[in-house]
Amino acid sequence: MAVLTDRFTKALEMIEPSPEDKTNAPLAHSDVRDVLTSADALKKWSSNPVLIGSYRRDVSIRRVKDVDVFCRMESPDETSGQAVLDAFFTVLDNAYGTDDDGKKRVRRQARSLQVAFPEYEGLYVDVVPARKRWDGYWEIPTKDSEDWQTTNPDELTTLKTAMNYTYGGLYVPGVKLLRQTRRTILTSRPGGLFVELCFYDACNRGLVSKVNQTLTYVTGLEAIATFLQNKVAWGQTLPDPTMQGKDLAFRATDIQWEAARDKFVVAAEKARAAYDEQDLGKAAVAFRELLGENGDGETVFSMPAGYNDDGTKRTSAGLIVPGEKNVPAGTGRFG
Amino acid sequence: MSPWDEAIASAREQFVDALEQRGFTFFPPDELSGSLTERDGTHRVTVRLSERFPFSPPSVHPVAEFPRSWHRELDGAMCLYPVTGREALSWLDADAFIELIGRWFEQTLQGWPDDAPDLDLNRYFYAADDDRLVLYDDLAPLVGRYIRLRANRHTITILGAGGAPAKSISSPKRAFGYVADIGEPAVPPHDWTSLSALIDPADVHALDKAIRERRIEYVLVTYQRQDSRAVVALEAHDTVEGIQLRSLASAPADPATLRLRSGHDAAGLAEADVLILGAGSVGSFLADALQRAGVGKMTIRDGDILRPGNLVRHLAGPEYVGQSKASAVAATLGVRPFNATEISTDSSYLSDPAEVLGLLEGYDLVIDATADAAVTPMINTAALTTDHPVLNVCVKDEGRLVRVDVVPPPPGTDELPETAVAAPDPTTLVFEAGCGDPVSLTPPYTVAEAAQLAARFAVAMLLGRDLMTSGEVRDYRATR
Repeated sequence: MAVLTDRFTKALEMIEPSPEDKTNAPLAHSDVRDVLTSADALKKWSSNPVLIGSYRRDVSIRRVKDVDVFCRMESPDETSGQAVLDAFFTVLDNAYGTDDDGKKRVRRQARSLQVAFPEYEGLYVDVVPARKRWDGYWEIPTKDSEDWQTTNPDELTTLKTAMNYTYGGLYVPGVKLLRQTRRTILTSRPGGLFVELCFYDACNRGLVSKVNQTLTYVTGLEAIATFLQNKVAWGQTLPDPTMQGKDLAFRATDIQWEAARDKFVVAAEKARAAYDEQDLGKAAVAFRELLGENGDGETVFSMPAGYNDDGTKRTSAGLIVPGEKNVPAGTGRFG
Repeated sequence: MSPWDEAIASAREQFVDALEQRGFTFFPPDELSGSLTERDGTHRVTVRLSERFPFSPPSVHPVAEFPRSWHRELDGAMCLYPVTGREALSWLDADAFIELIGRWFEQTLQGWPDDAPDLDLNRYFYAADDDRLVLYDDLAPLVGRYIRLRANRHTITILGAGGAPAKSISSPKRAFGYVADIGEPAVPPHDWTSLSALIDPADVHALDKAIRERRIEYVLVTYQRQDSRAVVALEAHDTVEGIQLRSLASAPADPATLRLRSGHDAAGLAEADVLILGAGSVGSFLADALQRAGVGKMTIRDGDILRPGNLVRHLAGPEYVGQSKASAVAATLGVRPFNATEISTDSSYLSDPAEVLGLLEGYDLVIDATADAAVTPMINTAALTTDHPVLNVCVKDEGRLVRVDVVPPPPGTDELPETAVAAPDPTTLVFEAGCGDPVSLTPPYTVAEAAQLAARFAVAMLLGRDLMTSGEVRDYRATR
């Protein structure tokens, strides 16, 4: 059995958002926030932009590509979702205009507005207008409709914190490792949010181990693989932990779900075999393949000391070993 | 990372992983936590890897409050491995390591029955800042009494009994103390409270007062573990937190201790009477070796005097230049505190054959270290005609040949083959003013080797052991 806690700790450092990420993301958020709160056209709604998403929940991995800003309209009216989006777009477009290549920095999407920050190494800010509901939830514009759909992003942050406590600090790192693995093995949707919420559900149902970080990761992969198999086979859904009685919906095609299933099943088997492996080098090779490279192109999982990249031992790995047991059971002096 | 650093890092990672596989949780960079289940329940421990790991064992602490006992460091860590016996790095075997922790719990809860009598009570006290060594002889007559001590530069010695001074005395050389006996403590004391509970109640109050009033500053505590007795020397100070005890390094200096490391043969050699012919380089170191081994009587005979040029390859020091070599060696040996050898000297040359038989019959062993072409044949021939074998030792070819011969060869052995040495090139000979013969450039380490080899054979002969050979030849000429 190879636990390799030290290597997983270092792997987490490799996927932790970089110092640049940690500087740029708040700056970009702050910039957008200032634009939105100072805009006369939006004042009637009492806009209060807050961070949500993976960055807010501290489950982002390097490089942070986007920051989600949830623009809470504390004083909403009956304006439709699309009209609200139009108003936000106008404000942001006027503020940010075009980049040095003449391209518009603000893009209107189905349910949000994307603001590009080329000065922050390609970071994007996704702005989602949201209006308050009577029951404490929020509503965001619906794609291709004038309606609004319910959401409760703040609650996810709270749930993350609670789950991390329940798992003795292993949950958040587990999310990051699984998101990194998804980024390594999948080239398309489902995205990191799916991985996070599937993992959350598995933890909630007691399917994920708390023994150590490695086993949390391995059982997390196994749980996601099982879910994907069931989803493709008979349409299993994930409950929305932030809104009772509702299921989560993710943007991915049937082909993408099948591809994800195949990849995650293989990944889960590889991870389990690595965990059961007695040789640390061979186990590390497998984990290295699963965790790939970070946003800076650096290998995430380092080999244990004394092992080559192919998992073979160097001479140094076997130099210092215990000698003859000189304390047989029942005899031998203590210090 | 260098291969050396990598070897250490690899050993560390493998050990950590092995413990994690056995249920321990790793908290990088250097701590693990786990549980052991024993008959009396489950015990949690923390394991810390120091910078000296893997060449030093991990530090293991029980998490729960465990009663103080033997085999517990001052900081509460378990003493799992004796200082001697760590060369096998046995802690790197995770199963053996965990098993040992389990046995520590078992032994502690049973009160350490059948424990080895480690005489290490000093380790249960914090060490004093003073690095001087407290020397003591037999303290039995001083138990329960105040003592006077002398503070020297590197040592503190006991002058004798004396009452505690009436008031505090500040002197760089004088000090006062008390000798207490605490018998065989079930649990090692580690502070004044636990120590004073073991001292004769009739004396504790006065002793406590003397320490608080700073009239005495040392307490020497004698104790026993099974059949062995030992001493811990403590510095005692009165502080705002009460009487503070700190341990000092101490060592017995009685004759028996001084000779303890002569080895197992010393007792048998105490009655031996040896004649060493030749107190030159080989003979001087041979006399040294036999004195240290515990030979009871020794006569050293040499007609030559010690010259300055001899010093680099001789036992005696420069203070003996000009004296006979025999006297110089005898004087060097005689002043040693551990000396138990009755040493006689003869500063005459052995030249009269009539004397030889008497010498062979008068000593338990005659050793010829003269390398003298006139003496050696005389001694050897005499030995062949009597029942008194002799031992020859010499160095030839400027140290390239070391040879020890038992003459005649012991029963069942053959004489060693001749080792002819070519005559030296006359152009390479070195002479020293005042010496007729050329100076031998034999290196000092070679003469020491010859002396120790001769000592080994001499001891075997004196103790009547069967010799498997009639000597030994170490020929290094092939390695030139």
